[in-house]
Amino acid sequence: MKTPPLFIFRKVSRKRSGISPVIATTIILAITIVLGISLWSFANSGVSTATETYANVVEEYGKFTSDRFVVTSAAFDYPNPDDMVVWIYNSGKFDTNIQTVIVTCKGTCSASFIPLQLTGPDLLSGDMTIASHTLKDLRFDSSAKSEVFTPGETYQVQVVSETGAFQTIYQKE
Amino acid sequence: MDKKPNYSHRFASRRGVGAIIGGVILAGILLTTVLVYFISILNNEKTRTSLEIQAQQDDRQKATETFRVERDLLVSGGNIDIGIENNGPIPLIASQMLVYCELGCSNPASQPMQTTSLSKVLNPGDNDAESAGGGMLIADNNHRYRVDVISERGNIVSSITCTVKSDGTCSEDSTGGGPPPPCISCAVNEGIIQGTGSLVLDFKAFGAIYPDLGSRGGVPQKGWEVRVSSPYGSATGYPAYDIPAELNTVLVEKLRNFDSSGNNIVISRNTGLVVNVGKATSGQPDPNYICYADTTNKQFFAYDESNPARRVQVRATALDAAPDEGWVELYFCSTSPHTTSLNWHPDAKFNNINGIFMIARGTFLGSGSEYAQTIPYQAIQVGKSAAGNKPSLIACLYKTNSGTACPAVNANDDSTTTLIYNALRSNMEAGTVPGTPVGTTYVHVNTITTNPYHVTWVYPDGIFRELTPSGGATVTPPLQNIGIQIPRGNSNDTDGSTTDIGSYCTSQYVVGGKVYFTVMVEDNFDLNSYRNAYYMTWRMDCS
Repeated sequence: MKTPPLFIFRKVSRKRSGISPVIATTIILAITIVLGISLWSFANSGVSTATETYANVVEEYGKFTSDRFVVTSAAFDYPNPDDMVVWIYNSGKFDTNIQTVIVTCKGTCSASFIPLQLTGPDLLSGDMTIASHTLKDLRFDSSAKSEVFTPGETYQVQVVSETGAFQTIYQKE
Repeated sequence: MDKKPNYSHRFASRRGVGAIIGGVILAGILLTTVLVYFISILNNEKTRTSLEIQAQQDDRQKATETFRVERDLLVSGGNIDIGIENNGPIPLIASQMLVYCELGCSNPASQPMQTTSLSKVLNPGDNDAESAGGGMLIADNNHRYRVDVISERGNIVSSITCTVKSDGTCSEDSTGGGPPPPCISCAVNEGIIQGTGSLVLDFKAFGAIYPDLGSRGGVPQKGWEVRVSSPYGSATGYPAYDIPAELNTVLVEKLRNFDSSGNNIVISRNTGLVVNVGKATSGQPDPNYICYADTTNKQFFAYDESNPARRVQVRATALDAAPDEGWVELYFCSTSPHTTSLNWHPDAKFNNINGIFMIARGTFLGSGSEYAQTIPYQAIQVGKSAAGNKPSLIACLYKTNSGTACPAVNANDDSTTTLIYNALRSNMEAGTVPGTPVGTTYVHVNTITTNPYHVTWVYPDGIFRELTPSGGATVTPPLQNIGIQIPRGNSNDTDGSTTDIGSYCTSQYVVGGKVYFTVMVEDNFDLNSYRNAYYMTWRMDCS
């Protein structure tokens, strides 16, 4: 059998002597670790986002379930014409932030009466926050809504809080 | 042949080790990440579940909570009193009270004319009063009012309305108004309990107060007067089965209301004790009508059901209520309704036995419907007729055999240091009353009426024993005393102990840490089987 020329071994021998097995292993490990950390960061970021989103959902759900209030009464054209007052009792353990009050006619005016949506800017004074275990009257000026309350008609008053909880009463004008 | 070096084998081994290490690390990272994710999800699920449970509990408690709002029959001073009763199984907090003017006011009917923050904690069965209206209610036949109460859980309960007549009463409470019709079956159903109606008496508390409450004696009584122990509380007065004759006397009874309608009953002025039944056709005793007792200021007033400060309200009590719950005392003192000036006094028109019926009348506070009940009663025995409106027999208890005359009957038991009407439990059990072991206490009688005398000790369980020898004790001048030993044991001598009188220091008999016994002194029968009787109270301090 014919042996290869000696210079070939020399060449191979030079290449192998350029990087030692230890260094090579170190490089491989470093690459592995970097890749691993990158992968972990990516996965952890995704998991964190998912869990945080879910935690927020649960927290909002908790606020919703603990948001308890009752609408005790409502008066129309009071204290002034086109004004409206809603009495709300917060029976929950935390403050309730009322988002909106929707008034709908349930009597003969149901076809012509455009439902009113009353919010914070419509308040005559104060704000829409009701402290725990207190009764508060929210007084709205609905004159800008171009709808009038008709004596004898029955209206549905739906109070919606920030968490989405709502309560409804029917009140005759 | 030349041997070739195996390069491929060496390189393959190195690649294998690196892949295994890398794979393990990557797998660990992935598993850890997934684990962290699931743990986070589980924690959030746990939180969500606890929130749901809390919300369900709140909903369930709100649904379970029940209470009633009763309004008074009368608007006075621009106010109407309401009663808030927790008739549910869980405690509640009444948080808000709203008064509406439904009719006759310029403001909308749906606008609360008064809102009041409350903080009334009501345990199951509790009933608390509140004044509503803020002095603004108008009595003119045209205004109609309603009171709402909101609990802290958000339940709203309304009273029945009151259209106020000019006399302050509510038109709904008369015929043709809004309240529901009378519960016809209520009295019949509850009659099973006592045979006649919804008001149940505490017969063990029946007693009589003597003499002349208001001008001489007081409530509660001390010393000379007698307190009758009851398992259900403290009644004041003599045991009314045998009372002195012709002296102004107040009969006392306790009752509670088991009406199944759940309405409170306001007793009316025509409630009374009827004693004029029997064989005699003339000179029968007058009925004894209810009076209002101000136990704080020790006064009696004319009973007036239209005045909340001069009437008795018997609140509804559940059938399974505690034995000491819901009892109220009724005082009967006058021969005419709505007065205290015509004092009632017993006399012996029926051979010493006067049968008694209680005629109880009232109004249901919730519905305004009328209530009446006739309750057959125990009889009373009246002592001999007295002269000069004073008892013929006056007795008292002394520490020594001194022969000192008893002071006036309205004197307190501590008016003289030689008088003795109470002792510590330990001293009674040890027999060191009034001082020395197995000491002797002396019953002094001011005027010797008829020998022999009998001294009887009445235990709070109703059992009695005679403290004088068989056949009685003879009282002779000048000392006019009867020596007795205050009992050391309870009423049961067969239990092997004769020093266990402290066994009455239990909740069944104790009133304010004290137990009351009765000492009864009677003289001998005359030819008509009449005799004098005199009663005193002995108090044992349990600690």
